[in-house]
Amino acid sequence: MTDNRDYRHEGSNEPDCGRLWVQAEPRIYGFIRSLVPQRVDAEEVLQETASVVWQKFGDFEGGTSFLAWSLQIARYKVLHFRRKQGREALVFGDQFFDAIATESLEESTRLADMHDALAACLAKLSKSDREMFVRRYQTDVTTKTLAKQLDRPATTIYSALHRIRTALVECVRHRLTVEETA
Amino acid sequence: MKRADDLKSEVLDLAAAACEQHLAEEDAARLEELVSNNEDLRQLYKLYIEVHAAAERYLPRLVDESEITEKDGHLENEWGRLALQKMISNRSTRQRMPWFATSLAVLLLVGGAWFFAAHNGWFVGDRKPLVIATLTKTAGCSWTEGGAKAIGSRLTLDETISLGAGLVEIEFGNGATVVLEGPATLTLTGDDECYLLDGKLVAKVPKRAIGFAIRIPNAKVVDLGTRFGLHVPEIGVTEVHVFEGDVELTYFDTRTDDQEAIVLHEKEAAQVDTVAFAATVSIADRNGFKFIVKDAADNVPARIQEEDGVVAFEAESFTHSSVVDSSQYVWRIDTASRNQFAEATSRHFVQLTSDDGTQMQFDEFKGEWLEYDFEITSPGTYRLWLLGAATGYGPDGRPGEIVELTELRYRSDAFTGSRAIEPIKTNFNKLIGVWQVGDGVPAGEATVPPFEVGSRHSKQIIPPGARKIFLALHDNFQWTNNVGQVSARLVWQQEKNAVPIRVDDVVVDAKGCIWFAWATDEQLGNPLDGKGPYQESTNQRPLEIEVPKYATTVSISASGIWSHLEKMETFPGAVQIKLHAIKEIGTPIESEHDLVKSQKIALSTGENFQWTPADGQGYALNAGIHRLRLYAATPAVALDKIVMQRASGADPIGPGPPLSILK
Repeated sequence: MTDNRDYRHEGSNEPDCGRLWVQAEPRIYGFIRSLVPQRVDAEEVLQETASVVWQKFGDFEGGTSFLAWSLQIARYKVLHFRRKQGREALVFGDQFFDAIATESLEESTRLADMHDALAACLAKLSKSDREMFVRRYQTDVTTKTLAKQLDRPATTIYSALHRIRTALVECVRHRLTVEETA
Repeated sequence: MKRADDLKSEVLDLAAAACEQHLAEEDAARLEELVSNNEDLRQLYKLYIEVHAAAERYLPRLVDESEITEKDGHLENEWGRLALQKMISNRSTRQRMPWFATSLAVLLLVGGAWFFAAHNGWFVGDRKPLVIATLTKTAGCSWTEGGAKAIGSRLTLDETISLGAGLVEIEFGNGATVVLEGPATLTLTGDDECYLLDGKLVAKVPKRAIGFAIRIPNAKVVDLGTRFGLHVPEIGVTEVHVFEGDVELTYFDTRTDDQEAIVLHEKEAAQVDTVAFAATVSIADRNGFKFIVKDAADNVPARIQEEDGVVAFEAESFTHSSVVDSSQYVWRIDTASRNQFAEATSRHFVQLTSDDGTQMQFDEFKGEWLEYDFEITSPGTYRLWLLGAATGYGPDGRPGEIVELTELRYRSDAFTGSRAIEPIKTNFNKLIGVWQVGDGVPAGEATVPPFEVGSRHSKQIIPPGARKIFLALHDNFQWTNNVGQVSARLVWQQEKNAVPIRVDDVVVDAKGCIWFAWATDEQLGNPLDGKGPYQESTNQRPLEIEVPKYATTVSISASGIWSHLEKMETFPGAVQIKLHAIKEIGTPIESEHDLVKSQKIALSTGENFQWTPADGQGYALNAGIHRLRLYAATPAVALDKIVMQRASGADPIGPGPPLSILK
């Protein structure tokens, strides 16, 4: 009878689910969002993922990547969602899903936090761009509504947002590359 | 690299369209094409979406970094919990009840879920990757579901061991050891309990671990200081054997949640029949069930001893495992070991009985002579009774080799209504299911794809809102003439590897009908046709099973024998019976001679049948050894009982002369 069993619940330095979730959630959401075209659907999948993560946390092995573990669950939930949707309703095909999902899971060990990078990049935007961007996302208005509010043509707003996002993408990419090679 | 830049800007444009919900179908196809084949473009797309996703959901964190502090870990923990709780409770406003508020109630309410009750680790913070047992020995293992484990592996709470074959020994922290023989599925549900979904095991429980419990579908065995064995077949009767000490067996009816508990003592055994939700238990002296797990001390197979010293056990029945093929649910008669059948007990076997309690059992016989030798100790006139049902067609739907035809005619007027019957091939001879979502609103698709009787069906995702599943067998033609039944086990789970929420052992009657069972292929797309999963006119309802709340997947395994008509026309069905006297005392034997020469008996579908010689008086039999030979002219004949009885007897199952089966 060996007695080197591991009763980790005795100690309290074990990471807890809520803390881990808070760190991982944006990445998980980003992952889901890249596969699920509608926000409302992505939210639903995220909630289902959270529910499973919450409930299955006992299966998670301390010391391994919580993010990778959660992403697996998210992947499963997206798959579930896709099956639920039915083939006709799918915007993206299986090829797309496989390519994105597989790669994202592989990347889940990436340490650099995209959010830090994005926050820094947002701070670098010009005041008007930043306002436009915040306005678009703060209340999640559509480009059309935003165009009305700002009394500008929708196409202008659309292009502006696209330009801002593209700039942010370039900036974030640059920062992440620098961080990871540092 | 202008071309590359073009592609990049194309991907960015498409990503923008996706963010603004402007993505047309052809755009989506183009995007898919671009990102699927090019890693750079894929990264670009993902990052773009990630930026968009971060902004739409986490903007407050991004523009005002001080709002969420990284420094106060505690605060963040609480925040995380709240976020999770909020998220889960949000579900209620969307479509479901709050998961955490109802889970306990559901656990209490949902039949079969009672084995969760010992758990209190449902909430964050209570659940840790707790190591509760160690894999101490293995022998000849093949693992399923990629779950290969080595000796010394730590096994954690809720871990499931899926063993394809071989033996493993698991030692729990409290000193209880379990030897598991594959194929088996065991989930560790606590530091002093586990759940055996199927398979065989022997548990040895030292005094300090008294109370160690093994849950099995619809029942539970609590150790009271003992050594005991369990056999949970994938389908069929669970057996509990006590080698030493006592165990408490709790079993219950999943429909009413009524529980019963009995204590089994040393050398006692019980069978737990969980078919159709209700557990019934029969207890016998351990020797009463020979067809079962044998203790390690009694039988240690040499091959196992040589490997790792695992103490093994072997089901006695499997010493002639060629006879038993549980995956097909067909017991082939092995005449060499027929003496084994004299003592075998299983509801799956039909019986050759006598009044001294010996039972001889068999099931299907297929185009081969079956021979039973018996000894008559008191000369007299005997009647032979055959009780059972026989059909013209076997599970494969094809007629066997016909020796001589006895015609049975099925007429189409047995069917109500005048709809033209359109035979289809696709789902023929398969178990099919259909979900019912909401109140009578069909799911619109048969989400349990048909599978062949005798196979195991992989996990199905339960469609959202599904309340019921309807199961029926599908013949090619007209179910009302079907005969037989199929046992099915439905394992409802929430996620992969979780202990089942409920296990339903059910019997699907061959006469049950799902509307699309005889629809055309085209109609399968919408089998219910808005009318419900069965047609009232047929009066043959499919089996109806409630979907447990919170189940997300169901696995169905099924096996059984059923017969059905392939064509609505005359077909033969016959049993040929010979009774030989091979050694009559005082009679010189020159050769086997038939007392009855090749009588062919017409058997009607589903009817019991009694057979006596033409004169109705029986056979004059001397003391001695006689051989009864049975031949099924058609591929599947099932007899419930063969009874030899003195002609003076009235009740075919009543007293008669001793009938001993010779070795």
